[in-house]
Amino acid sequence: MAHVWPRLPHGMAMELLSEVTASHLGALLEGSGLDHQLAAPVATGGTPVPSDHIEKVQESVRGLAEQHGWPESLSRTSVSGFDQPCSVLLHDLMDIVPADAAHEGVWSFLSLVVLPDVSKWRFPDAARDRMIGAPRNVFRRLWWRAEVLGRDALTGEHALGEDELVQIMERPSLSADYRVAREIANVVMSRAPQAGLARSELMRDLAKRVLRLMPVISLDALEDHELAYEIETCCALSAEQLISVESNMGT
Amino acid sequence: MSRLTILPHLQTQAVRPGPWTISINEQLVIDEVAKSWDYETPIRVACSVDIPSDEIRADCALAPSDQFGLVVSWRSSSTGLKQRADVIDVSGGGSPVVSIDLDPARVGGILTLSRRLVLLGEGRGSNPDSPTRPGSILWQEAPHDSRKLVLEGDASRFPTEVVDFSGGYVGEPEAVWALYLDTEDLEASAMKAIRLYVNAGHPAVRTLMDVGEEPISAAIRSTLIWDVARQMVLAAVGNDEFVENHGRFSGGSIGEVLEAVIEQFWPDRDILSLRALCEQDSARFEYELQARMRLLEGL
Repeated sequence: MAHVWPRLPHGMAMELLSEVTASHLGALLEGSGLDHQLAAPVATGGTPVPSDHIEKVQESVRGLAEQHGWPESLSRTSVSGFDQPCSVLLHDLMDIVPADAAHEGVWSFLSLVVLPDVSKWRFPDAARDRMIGAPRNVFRRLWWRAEVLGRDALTGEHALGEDELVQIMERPSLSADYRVAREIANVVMSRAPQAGLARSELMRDLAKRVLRLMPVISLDALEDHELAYEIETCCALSAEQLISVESNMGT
Repeated sequence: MSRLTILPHLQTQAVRPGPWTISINEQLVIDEVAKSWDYETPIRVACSVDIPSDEIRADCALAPSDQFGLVVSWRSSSTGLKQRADVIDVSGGGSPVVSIDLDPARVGGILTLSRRLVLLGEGRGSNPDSPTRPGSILWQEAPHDSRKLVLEGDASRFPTEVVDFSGGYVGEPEAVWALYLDTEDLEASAMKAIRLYVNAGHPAVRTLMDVGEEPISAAIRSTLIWDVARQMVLAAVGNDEFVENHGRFSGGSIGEVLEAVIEQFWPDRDILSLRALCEQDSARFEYELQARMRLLEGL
C-alpha cells in the first residue's frame, strides 16, 4: 500500500525558503529533519509515511548527490547525470500515489525540510519555484518524469535530455496520457542520429506536431500499433522539415 | 464566440449523450461536489449514449464496412492525468451504457468526464471528406457539456499565494498583489504559468481576510478579480501566437485558460475584433470589461 506524505503549508514553506536562501549547504544539512511540526499528511486516504521511510529517501538522495560531487558545484553538463537517476530513485523509493504527488505541500516538505542541502546544491539560487512544491520543484518534476515516462526514457545511452523532457512534461496534453508521452519518447530515442538534426529540435517540432494532431485524431483511442504509426509519421515529417530548413539556410 | 475546431473530415451532430451517473463508495453523487472522498475511495461513473448509426454514417459519409467506437474518458485537474474506458464498438447503433471504475489514486481536484465518437480502423468512405485515419474524431462533447465533479478539499482553484511582500521575493512591500503570467509557451501548464501573489503585509489584504463579508472586503475582492482578468485579457490579445492559434489550445494549458477568460466576457466577439478594440478604442475596452465583470456591483 502506498503512503501519504506530510504536507508543509505554504506560509511555512515561504519562511523556510528565506532560511534556505540565506544558509550555506553545511548549515542546511545540519538543520534538515524528518518531520516538521506544521507538516502533516492528508487526514484520510492512506497510511502516513513512516519516519524511517523518509530517512531512507533522504539518505539515498544524499548519497546520489555525494556521488555527483556535493557540496562542490554541479556543472551544467553534469546536471542530467544527477537528475535522471534521481528521478528513478525518488519514484522507486517514495511509494507515493499520483494524487498525493500532485500536492505542493508534499514537495515543499521534501525540498525544504528533508533535503534542503540537496535542493540548494541542485539550484544554488534557491529560486522560489524550485524550492516551493510547485510543478517545477526540484524533486516534484523528477518524480513526475519517472511516473509518466517510465525509467527507460531516463536511463541508458539514449535517455532523453533536459530540453527533450521539458517538451513533453511541460505540455499538459502530452504528459496527461502515459501512452502518448511514452510513444513520443520511444520514437525520438530510437531514431538514429542524422547529420544536421539536433534531437532536441526534433523533439520540439514533434511535440508541436502531435499537439496539432490531437483535435483531429483521438490518440488515446488508438491501438498500440496505430499510435506508434501516427507518432512515427509525425516524427518523420518533423525530421524532413528540419533538415530542409537546415539545408536551405546552408545554401 | 464558441470554441470551434475545424476538422479536415466530416463530422456528425447526431449523437445524443445521456446523463452521467457518478457513485462514490456506492453512494450516488448528485451534486457537483463530492464531499466524502479520499484516495482510497472508489469512484464509478456511467452513462448511456444514443447512437443513431444510419444518421452518423450519412453525416460522415462512411462506407458500410466502416466501424466507429465510443470513447469515454476522464481528466483530473490536480494530477493532470487522463484515461479512458475501453473503446466500445457502436457501429451497429443503439444506446450502449458505459461504466468506468476510476483509480482514486490518480485523480484529485476537478474531475472532467467527456465522450467522443471515433473511427475504428481505416475509413473507406468514397467522399473526399470522409474520415480515413484510425481515431478520426466523428463527434465530441462540447467542453461546456462535459460533466465536472469537484473532489472536495482537493480542487485546485486559481493558483494564489498569500505572502508578505516585505520579504522581497515577489514585489514591493506597498503593492497589494502581483500577477505572474508566463505566456512564452502557451501550451505550458496553466498551473505553472499563472501565479497570483497577494501581499499578506498590506492593510487591504488583512482587511480582506479579517472582515470577509463587509462591503470593504467585497470592494477589494471585486477590484482584485477585475484587475487579474484585465491583465490576462491584455496579455492574451497582445500575443501574436495566442491570436494566431486561438481556439486550438490544449486542455489545461495557459492558452486554454486565457481563451476561457475571454470567452466568459466577450462571447460575442472573435479574437481579432477584440484585439482591434484594445488597440483602437481602449476606453471602450475598459468600460466593456468593467460592465461585463460587474465591477463593484452591489456596493
